[in-house]
Amino acid sequence: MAYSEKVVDHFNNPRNVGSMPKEDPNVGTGLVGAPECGDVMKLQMKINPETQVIEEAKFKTFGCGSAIASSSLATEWVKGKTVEEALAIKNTEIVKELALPPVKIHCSVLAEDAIKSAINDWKKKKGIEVRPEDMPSH
Amino acid sequence: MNEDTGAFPCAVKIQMAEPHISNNPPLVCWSCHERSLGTHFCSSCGKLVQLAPNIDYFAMLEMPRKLWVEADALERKFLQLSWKLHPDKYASATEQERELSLRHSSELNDAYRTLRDPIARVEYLLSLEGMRKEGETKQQAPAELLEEVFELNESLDELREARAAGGDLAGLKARLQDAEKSFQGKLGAVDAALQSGAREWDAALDAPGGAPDVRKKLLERMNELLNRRAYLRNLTLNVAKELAA
Amino acid sequence: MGRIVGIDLGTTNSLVAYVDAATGRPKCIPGPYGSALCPSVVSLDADGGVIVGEPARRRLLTQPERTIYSVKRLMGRGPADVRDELKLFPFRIDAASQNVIRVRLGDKVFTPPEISAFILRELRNWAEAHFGETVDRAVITVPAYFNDAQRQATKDAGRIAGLEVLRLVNEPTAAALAYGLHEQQRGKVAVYDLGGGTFDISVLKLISTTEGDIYQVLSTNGDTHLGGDDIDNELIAREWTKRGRAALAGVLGDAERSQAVRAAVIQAKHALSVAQEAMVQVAGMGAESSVRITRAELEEIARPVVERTMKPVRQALADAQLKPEEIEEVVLVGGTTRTPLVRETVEKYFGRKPHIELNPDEVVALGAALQADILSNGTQNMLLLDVAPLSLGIETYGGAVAKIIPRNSTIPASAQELYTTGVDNQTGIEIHVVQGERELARDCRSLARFTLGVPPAPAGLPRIEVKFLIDANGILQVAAKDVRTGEERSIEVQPSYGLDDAEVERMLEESIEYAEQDFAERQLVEARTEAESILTATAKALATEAAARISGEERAAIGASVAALKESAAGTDYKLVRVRIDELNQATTHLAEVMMNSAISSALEGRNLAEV
Ligand code: FES
Ligand SMILES: [Zn+2]
Repeated sequence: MAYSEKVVDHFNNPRNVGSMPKEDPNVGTGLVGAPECGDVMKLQMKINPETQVIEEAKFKTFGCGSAIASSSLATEWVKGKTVEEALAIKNTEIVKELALPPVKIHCSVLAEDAIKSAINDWKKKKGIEVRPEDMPSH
Repeated sequence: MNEDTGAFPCAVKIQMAEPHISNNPPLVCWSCHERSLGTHFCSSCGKLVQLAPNIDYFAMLEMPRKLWVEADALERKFLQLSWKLHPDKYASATEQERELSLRHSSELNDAYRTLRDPIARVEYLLSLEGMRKEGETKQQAPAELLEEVFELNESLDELREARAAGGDLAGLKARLQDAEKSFQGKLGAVDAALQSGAREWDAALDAPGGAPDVRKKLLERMNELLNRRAYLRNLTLNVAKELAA
Repeated sequence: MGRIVGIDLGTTNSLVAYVDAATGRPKCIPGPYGSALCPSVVSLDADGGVIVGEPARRRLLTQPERTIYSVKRLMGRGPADVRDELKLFPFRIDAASQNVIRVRLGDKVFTPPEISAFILRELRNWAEAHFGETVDRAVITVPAYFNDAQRQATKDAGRIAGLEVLRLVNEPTAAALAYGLHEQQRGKVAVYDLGGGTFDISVLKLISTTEGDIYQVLSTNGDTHLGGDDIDNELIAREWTKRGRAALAGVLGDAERSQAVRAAVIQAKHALSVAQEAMVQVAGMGAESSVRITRAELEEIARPVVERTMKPVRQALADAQLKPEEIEEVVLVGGTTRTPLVRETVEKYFGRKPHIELNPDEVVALGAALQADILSNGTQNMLLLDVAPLSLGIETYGGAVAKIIPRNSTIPASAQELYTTGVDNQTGIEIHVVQGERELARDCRSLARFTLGVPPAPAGLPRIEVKFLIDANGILQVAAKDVRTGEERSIEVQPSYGLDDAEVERMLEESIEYAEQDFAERQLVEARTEAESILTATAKALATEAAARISGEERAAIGASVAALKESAAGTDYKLVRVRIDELNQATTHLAEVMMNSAISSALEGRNLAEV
């Protein structure tokens, strides 16, 4: 079988589904989409302005099982991490953790992009400069 | 959500097999052993030839790689080739020729199915030109579009929940209908833009030297349009499904 | 090579037809009872003999336990699929049935393809008797909406009956072919085909080109479990309520009684196609117990069935991107379209009178004969372009279906898919092929599962290209290739519902035991019998007084012919035996005359010895 149990677990019991107020100055929102399939993903995180630690993460994904599992995993991973640590998460790690097949790689890319764009949104709110290498690359 | 939680996956599909590229060297005919120049038939003995391994759909239908195609002319070409290639015409031929006819006619049918649809035709051309490969850099859609898509998806969700709870649906339904109209309109605009892109592509091909720079830009533009279209279509389908339920 | 025929293997009746070489027109072949309709009923008698057609239909009343009808409903289906049917049809499914249903007839068990093969063999016998020649190839029609398993089962039935199935043709397409030839129709045509157990709608475009006529199917839709049988079942239910169980009890045994009721309502239904009212008279019950039924009552019962046909009709038009008023001709096919309500409904929807010029029972067989002729190089100025009725898909992540060949694709059609592995050193990729329009694999029809063998390698490295091809019969073929090495990979496709090759072979062998011998064998037996009688007669004649009057030369010639005939009869070539019989007849003509002149009877003049 080509799929790990983890992916099925995250898909069946997605963690951290929901949303936070967009206007909250401590909340960053990332909204991304995959044109291949027309699916969209929203990932939000509440970040402590002092410590830059991500205290809370929520997501909502309209898309395929792999996208849901990827975003669910992403929210778990970013919690407790600092912004810098979270920016270092690569889609390939998600692919590895969930054992996603090649056809589903773009779904994990979506999750990576969502993390980046949520953090960038928060940085903009805080007037922190967004480094070009942290722009969603895809 | 597009998928179900139940069954366990069993197939790992990468993508559509890489499209074929034409202009391969002429093959040697299996029957008369001469070098054959024909797509379907040997130019020297007239027998069905082994299909070139990387022949593309445009070549299958013996037409240039252009996007503006007259439907009637395409159909005539398709029927004319069907008449010559269909397995019925080889029912009492040799095993090898029957096999060849099956290959030629199935590919011909696949080619016609793809090229007669203007959107599938653009998509196919883009993949031939190496624009739509898995894992390639793609541009994120504009934020407003994504927002709109996301909100509409949420409305759809609400409608589903309201329906499950047996609530009053009139308001939601009206919203959905409005959204459907607006998305249909956007879809129409994308299609119109694709159409003009198609004309420009053909013109560039006809220009002296084939205007490679112009064509490259056009490919990018059409790729963007197709991406936009994917979101819009997904949505209109979902909205229509929800309204019909 | 023997003759080629077209066969309509129907739910209720089956027919066999051919194209008359002299006129170029298709014709149905009548059976021993004078009718071209062979009831699709098979019965097994106590000593294991198989009875097919009209006599079997009569045995439905007397030996229902050993007789089966409407077996087409079981073709290509699994036990779970037919649970609902079992409430309405007296199929005795064997408890041991697994992927393939097994039906009990008396003390024996058969698969649906085997039972269908008995019907095909019977039709083959009709045709061989008609031509006086072997028939070994056929075009067989199937409902357009038949899935892969149902098609495969039909093809298997042909093989078991000893026929090479040159092509499976969709029933409405066959009908269009027959009509096109008959009416010289052109333009967009809708064929509405409501038979005993299946419903099909096909939209075609008839195009004249310089080379000939092309019949291009634009779309097709249907329901493989909708037909006149459903109306019959409702009528039967009505009888039970009208009469009360008590009235019907005690007339006959249980199975027999229900068959008697079935026969009675069918007769009444047919009468109502022309009359406004009819009586349902159950065999074994007095005429005074007949129940009156009016056409209005029948229509009330038929209406839901007719309504159910309209959804596929609308879908087929939508898929062809046509409005009802854009259809230029409408053709009605199938016995159930004789019901006036069907005609009215179809006429109202399309806004034009449907064609009913050709016998709706025969038109499909006639079309099959035309296609058979096309394939045997007879008719060269026609071409059929048919479509796949259902989308072909592959199960993907989460049980969803990725469509690879959409429904209404012109066949042959193909799709290539590239696969790889998801984990390191994975040695197999499992592929599940389904057919249908639903989004989830479990709601579609499972066609086959197979595993692609992959050499161990890091995940994502192997590249296996799989080619799915739907052939001109609408049947799936799969081939795989390792893209890196170019090596072809063979695939063992395990059909989800069907027989494998070995099973079909075994059934072919067994079927010969049950059915009559091969045509050639039968001919040989007959020729040998005839040879024996002429040899006996010759020996007798040579011993008479009259024989003394023939010359020694003549006697020697007769002797040589006798020896030659004996030798040929020891061989297996029935044609040679016939030649030798003729030669001996020639050689003994004079002897016969001499004997006649010796005045046994002047009435025998001009005959040869064999006839004396
Ligand atoms: S298929 Fe759309 S994100 Fe996975
Ligand atoms: Zn040649």
